[in-house]
Amino acid sequence: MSNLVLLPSIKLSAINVERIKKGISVNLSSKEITTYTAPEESFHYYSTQFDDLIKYTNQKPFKGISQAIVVLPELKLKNEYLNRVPDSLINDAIGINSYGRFFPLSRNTLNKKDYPAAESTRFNQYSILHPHASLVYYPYGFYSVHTGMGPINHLGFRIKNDFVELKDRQKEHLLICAFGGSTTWSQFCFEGETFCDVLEGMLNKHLGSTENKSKYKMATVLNFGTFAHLVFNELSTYLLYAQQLSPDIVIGHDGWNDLLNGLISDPFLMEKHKLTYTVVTENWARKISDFENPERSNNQITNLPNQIVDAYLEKKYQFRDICEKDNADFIPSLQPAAFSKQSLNLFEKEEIKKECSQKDALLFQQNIPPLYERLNHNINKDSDSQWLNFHEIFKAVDHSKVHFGDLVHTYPEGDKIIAENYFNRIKKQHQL
Amino acid sequence: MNILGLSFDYHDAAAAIVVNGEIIAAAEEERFSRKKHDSSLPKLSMAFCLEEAGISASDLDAIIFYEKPLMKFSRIIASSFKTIPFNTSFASEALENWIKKGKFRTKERIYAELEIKDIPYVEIEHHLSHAASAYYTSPFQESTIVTLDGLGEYETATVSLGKQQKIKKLYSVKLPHSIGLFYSAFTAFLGFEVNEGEYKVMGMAGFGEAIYVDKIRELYTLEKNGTFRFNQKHFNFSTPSKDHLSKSFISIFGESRTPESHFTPPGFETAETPTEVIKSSKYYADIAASIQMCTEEIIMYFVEKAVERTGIKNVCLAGGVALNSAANGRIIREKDFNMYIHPSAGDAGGALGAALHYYHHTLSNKRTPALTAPYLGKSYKNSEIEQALKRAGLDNWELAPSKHSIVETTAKHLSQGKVIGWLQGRFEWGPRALGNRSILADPSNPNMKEIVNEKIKFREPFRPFAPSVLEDRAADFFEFPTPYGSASPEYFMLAIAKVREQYEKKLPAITHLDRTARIQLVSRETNELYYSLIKQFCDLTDIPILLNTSFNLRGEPMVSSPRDAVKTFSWSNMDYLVMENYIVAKSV
Repeated sequence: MSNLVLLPSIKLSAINVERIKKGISVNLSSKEITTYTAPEESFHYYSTQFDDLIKYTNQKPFKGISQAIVVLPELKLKNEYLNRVPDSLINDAIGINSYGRFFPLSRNTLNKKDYPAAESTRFNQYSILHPHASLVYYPYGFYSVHTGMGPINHLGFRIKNDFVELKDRQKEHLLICAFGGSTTWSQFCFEGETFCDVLEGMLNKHLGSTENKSKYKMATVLNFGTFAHLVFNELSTYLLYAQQLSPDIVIGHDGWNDLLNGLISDPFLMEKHKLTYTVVTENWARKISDFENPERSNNQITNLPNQIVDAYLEKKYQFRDICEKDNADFIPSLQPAAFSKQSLNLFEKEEIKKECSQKDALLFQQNIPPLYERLNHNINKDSDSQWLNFHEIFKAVDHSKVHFGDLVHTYPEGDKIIAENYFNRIKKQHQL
Repeated sequence: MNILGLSFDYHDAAAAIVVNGEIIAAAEEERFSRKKHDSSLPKLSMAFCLEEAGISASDLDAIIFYEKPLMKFSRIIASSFKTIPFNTSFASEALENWIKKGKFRTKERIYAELEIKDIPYVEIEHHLSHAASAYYTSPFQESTIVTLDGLGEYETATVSLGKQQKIKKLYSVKLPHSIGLFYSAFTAFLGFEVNEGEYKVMGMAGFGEAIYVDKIRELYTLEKNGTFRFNQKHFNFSTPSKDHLSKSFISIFGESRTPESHFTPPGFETAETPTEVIKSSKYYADIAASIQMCTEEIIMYFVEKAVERTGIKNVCLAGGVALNSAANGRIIREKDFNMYIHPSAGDAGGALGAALHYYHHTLSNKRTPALTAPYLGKSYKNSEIEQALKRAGLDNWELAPSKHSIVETTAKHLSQGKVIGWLQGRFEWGPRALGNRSILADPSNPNMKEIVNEKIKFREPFRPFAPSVLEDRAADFFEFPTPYGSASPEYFMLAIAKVREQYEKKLPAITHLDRTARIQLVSRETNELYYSLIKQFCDLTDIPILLNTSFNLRGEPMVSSPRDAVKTFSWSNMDYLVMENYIVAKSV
């Protein structure tokens, strides 16, 4: 296979360029020949970062190329960049975004070839704008499949091996199941960079050392994080897949999704049952019922701050109680957000600025920070639950480093801090 | 005689009910559905109107719809085939949309919702509904009636003559010449949402200099016959796309302002403001000032010529353009006319106009008194308020023993710099908060503009607020011609007046950069409680004025119910919420 990587006319930051390079190395075999091309506007800029860069010409004179990889920093530029793809390659074209994630521009092709388990029907597509995100097996499994950041299993979890086998693990095998949304899945991190991977590595290093005085000799961290999951979804994922494994430790790494969806979910369910849910799933019901307007406007707040925070805490403690009844140690944590940091790195500022320029961004940009403060206040009052409060922890991080790629998703440096804190907590709690 | 008037399927859906000529109730659907500018069949407003009138749908004698859908659709088709090449996609998209949304089945949808049949159903023309909304709620027995909006079926502006119970149309302007669409085009150009951000253009105009007036004047002509024409080379009003702007328009004025992009008004720059922001802010503010001046020029010309034609100086004004309070203020100041502007001058008002037209014009019933208290919406009982507070889990509240006590306590809080959410009685008809669903504060507090903008309304810190002033003290503080009566536009916050020079610095929160303010005169007769509150505030501060802004969060409709109010209160940084006799304090 020989690939043509089309770089954008926009000058991406050095950090993005590095992520793109990594994305290419993760997704392509080292034997594949990769040719880079950039248009006139950015040619000089990228020529210092890519060896043997070819200047793009309108004649598309690329021969012997079997696959086009289009760097798409913004999805809205899709058509502009697709025009540059040689016609013969258009059906197999692959997109790569600014944090290095591969996704199919013609999604079925990629699914069939590389992700047969993630095959889905057109009906299952999340939206035309996000053709790479699908709703396979919803509502029984997960909400969407994201490819191109490393291995995923048939359910979309970042789990490489058959986790069911862990039911019969040895007593010295420490099993940790981590739950949460896209931040637990770690959407900006490749394999080995996610906090689950880093934590597993740290634990195994420690358990294999002479320092370890505990019964555990090895550890596995299963990442059950799934895009858009709330505690409500974590509960069902736990019951469906993790409970049978009798994990020793359960991590609930969440907060953002519950608060965000709590802003706009059904006020009756919130008031009566303290229930928040993934609001976008309402669109399913609407589509199935052939509603006139299948997508309701999601920019209007429907609930009160105290109700949203109470609903999150209630579900979180419900999850904790179930896990503790199952004899698992539950670690309740509040995930960090970019505003947790005292100040942001320039790259973070720029990325967040881009995100906040989107039409509906005001909803979370404006309303999540006060909810976090309210939640933080309640958590700090509750010393019994021993929260791992990353909102507090990230106040002290080195602000010159890049921890966030947007308002909430962490880059590898952020995941590393998260992993270290989980490690220290587990080590202390379990006297490892 | 029970008549239900309805408007929906385009902008703001609404229902109004008239019983024997008396306006019993009227409400925009958005106030109940909580969807801004909800244009759907106004199920909730209809139910409210029937409930308020104490009748069921089968007791209705007639249902009047505010426009003629088929005529409107024929215009869409005709417009599509006037362009070269034919804009068939515009027509086919419209057809698909109309079929999908049931716009050809207006009557059937109403009947199905109300579970009725055989009740007379009548459609009247869009601009006639506007004209009727203004004339029949005015105090005039004869009047020049002017309507100005984006577009109706074919018309965009009309001049009619009102005499006793009859309205006679004299002449009109038809699409593509539309002052409403002209203003909307610039609204889009300035980065605001069409049909929503027009008032922001007016606000922005206050920060600019009208230096592009000559350039804009080239886009239109004022005709000798009293009408106006827009050069269609620069616009596409017949088969509009997203923002009506043509390449030719862009070549004259440059690229549109990016929505939500940073705007630092001239005079508000700091050392950190980037040069390009300063430059672009000035440019767009100057464009806003220029378009506002040109719009005023067109409106004044159109109204002046209309009066010349009828010879009647009583002028009734309606249609969305009539909400341009700066233009209204200019007419009042510069022309010797008695103006009446319907408080719900946009499409929602058409619901009431349609019902009144049927009662007075079609059935020749006598005129009824003018609408001076536009509180036609729903009110809520103390028990409903208490329930809302309990459901919200709020416990930091007390029940005051009397209205007098409410007034005393609220005025005291206001005088101490507190910001109050105020929900009393029936909500207002129209887009202005007139003291029943208002956020109130001390207008003399130098920090108040910033506090209310940034911490309560969550909008730019420089945006000015409107003042509510006791009618008998208003002339001490503001310059405006003496109103002819309590239906004058100043009572509905529909006209701008100058703040007297000596008070400019003393009323910083309600004074715009050009020393103007969109005043609301408050009379004891139309809103006794609100009058008493301002009076009590005056007793404590010597200022007979309150800062009054609509009780809502940015992007949301004004609150209607106690639950809406509790929600808005919880999300903002207001200090107190006063609902009927309940005073809720913000919990820490």
